Amino acid sequence: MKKISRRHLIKGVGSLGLLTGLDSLGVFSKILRSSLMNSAIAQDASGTKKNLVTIALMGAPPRWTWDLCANKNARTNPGLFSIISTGFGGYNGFDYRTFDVGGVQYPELWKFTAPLSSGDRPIQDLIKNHLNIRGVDSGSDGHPDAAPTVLASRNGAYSIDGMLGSLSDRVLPSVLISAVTSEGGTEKFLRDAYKAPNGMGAKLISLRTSNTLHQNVETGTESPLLRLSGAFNNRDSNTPNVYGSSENLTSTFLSRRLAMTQFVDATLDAMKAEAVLKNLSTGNTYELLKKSQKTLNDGLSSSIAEFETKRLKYSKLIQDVFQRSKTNLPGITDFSEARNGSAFSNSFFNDEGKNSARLNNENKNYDLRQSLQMSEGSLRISFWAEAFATIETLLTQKLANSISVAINFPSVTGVYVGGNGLRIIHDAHNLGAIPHLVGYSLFYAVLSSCILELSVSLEASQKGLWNDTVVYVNGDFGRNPSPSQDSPAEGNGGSDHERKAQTASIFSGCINGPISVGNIDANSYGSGGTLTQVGSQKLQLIPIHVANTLATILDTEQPVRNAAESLVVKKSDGTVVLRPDVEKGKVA
Amino acid sequence: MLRKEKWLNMKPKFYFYSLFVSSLFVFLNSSCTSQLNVKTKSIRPLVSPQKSEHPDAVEIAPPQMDRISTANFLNSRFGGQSSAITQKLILPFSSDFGGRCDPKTNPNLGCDESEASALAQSKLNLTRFALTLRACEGILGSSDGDNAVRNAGKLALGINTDLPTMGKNEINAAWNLFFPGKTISKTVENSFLTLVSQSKEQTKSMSANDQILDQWRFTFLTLCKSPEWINLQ
Repeated sequence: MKKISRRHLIKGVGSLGLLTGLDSLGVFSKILRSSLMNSAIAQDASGTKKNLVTIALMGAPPRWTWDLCANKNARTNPGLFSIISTGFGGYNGFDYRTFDVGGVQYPELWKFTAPLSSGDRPIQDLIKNHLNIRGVDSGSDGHPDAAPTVLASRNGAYSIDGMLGSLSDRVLPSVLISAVTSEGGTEKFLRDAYKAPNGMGAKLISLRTSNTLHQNVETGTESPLLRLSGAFNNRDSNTPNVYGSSENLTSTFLSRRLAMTQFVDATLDAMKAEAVLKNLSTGNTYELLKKSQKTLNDGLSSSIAEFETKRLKYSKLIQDVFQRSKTNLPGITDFSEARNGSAFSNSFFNDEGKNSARLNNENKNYDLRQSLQMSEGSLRISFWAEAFATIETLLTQKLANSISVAINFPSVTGVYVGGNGLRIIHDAHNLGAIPHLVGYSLFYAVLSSCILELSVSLEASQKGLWNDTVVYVNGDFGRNPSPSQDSPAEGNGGSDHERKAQTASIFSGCINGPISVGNIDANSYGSGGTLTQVGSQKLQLIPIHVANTLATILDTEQPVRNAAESLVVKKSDGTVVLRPDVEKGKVA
Repeated sequence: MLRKEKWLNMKPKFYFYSLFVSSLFVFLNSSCTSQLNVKTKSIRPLVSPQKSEHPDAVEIAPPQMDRISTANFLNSRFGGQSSAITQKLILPFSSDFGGRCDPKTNPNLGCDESEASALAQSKLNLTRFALTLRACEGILGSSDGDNAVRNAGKLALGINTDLPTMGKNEINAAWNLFFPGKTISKTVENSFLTLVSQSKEQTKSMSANDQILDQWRFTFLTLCKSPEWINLQ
């Protein structure tokens, strides 16, 4: 039976009064409607206590060292790791290992230990809260084209972050953060992807707007949080306890404002009651007004100050991960030792022959690992640190609960191939196997460490906050782990787009993981595409499956009602488990 | 005679009732089939318009003023230094108020990349209200606030002399400045009267002029804070 919402009931009662035109019933209708409306507003205002953090990996970096191949039996299938096992020229036979965690095979990288602010923690700790959906057909494999479908599921459907934003009662209901270094059109992607039926405006902030952002952060003039919530920050340093001081309000006005507040508010309440009776849509605006006023009264100075502490924490974490990765990057270090030499030095390129011609002379002694010891300034790690610091502050201060961040991997300078800079970026078609393997392992070590730090910090800030928070890592399209078709003869290229290899990693304290869904097609080198048993049907997983699954975890309504049901269910204790009639992920 | 007179006295009423009933009958018949009701301004259809079942039909909120019209609205009412406040608190926030940037017609509005991609209409958000609240208080509560109060009061009353103490007429005039064409309800009017009387009570020790300004100031502040004047419908 279809559930009748309060809003429908209110509209029904309102229509009844309008249709009958009877005064007595009209008055009754108005009273009932007003009472229900207040109740509905209260319900809406309570919003949702769940938080969604979407991390969009712009350019869709290959994910085979992280979550694309996180599957049982993956190791037994050499095709899955073709780029690693066959792309090294003379390094054929290299076995990039996986290991078992709770019945699911995870790439070796997951043995990395993260130097968190609270001490060392294995990133494996995230696996117990991991839901992995692989082989999702994004419907398109182009950069800008597929991006909105990932969040908005399909044309015409609302995005899950937008729908959550509609329920939000936070100061900043939805925040979109563009934290990429150079990707054009990311802001447009975020705006296009964000769709909400009744959502309050999503606030977009681009960390890219200033190349000297880090310095500006320290002066406090360009703090992302200040830019996001600056409207509420109108206290000056001399009178931090009085809101409005930055508008140079006179002392007479301030004292009179205090004395008259209750009468101004009472009149606004009378106007609100009138608005509710006349028009359902304007009543809620008074609630927004009240919240704005309250936030102005309370102030955000402490939140803004807290952001800076968090930024420094993530900045240090990222640099420490880089430092640790130099000597201990699981899967990579083992490989290096097994070959009795360095897989990262120029000898690799030269000795193996295939790559030597591609290096300029001045870079013969180049060690890739050295380049990966990125300084904060040169590689703009500040983008990442600021993005995660912004996320943590917004969540712990309860300023927002729908946050989407677009990030990418900065270029590594200093290596030249054929006169052109070798760029370890997300969308690297012909990068070569080793840079791929090393670069992306490091990339995911950083990402995993930041997510783990976030989860630990949220839980430390408030018990249960990690349970109420969902981190959803997607990309703007899928990527095939088979060698690039652009340079098949060399067999050492990067990898190409693959629309059926979209992967969605979802982390939350409420997920009883690891859960792996979605099959990998070994014959097409892990491009996905095989059908998954969902209920009574065998289906190709699509972004709507992901969106509806997220809706279940977030306790919100599904963005699409008539297709692609959620793959998980919630138990009575709130934990998320795989639906019993959904097939576990496997390699076909 | 008495009876006749009574009957005669009743006759016009009877005629009136007959006329009313027949008019109602004509109206009921014509409301669906003729255009009579289109010309009759006060007549409202008894059956509300049918809700669209088209799959592409959506429900929308009333359109709201964008950043430029919001700033213009406040400047045109309060004058004086209000433009400096709106320049700082309203115009730069295209993503909160909506309003694309047009470098040709508004070269001084800082048409940067983010503004060029701003929405023509922004959805309602807390930031917008916070900025508007600050602008209202900045205009009415800063050192130039007295001028802003005088400007708006004179505009509301259409006078060029000193502002009078506030009563019902003045409250209605102030109301019309923010909600032109919309009648204030009795309840809201009474609430404003209470506000004014409290102002009078609390400012007894002030000069007469300051007392009057205080009444107008908090009346305008309440109206300016109210979120409804931003609706264009």
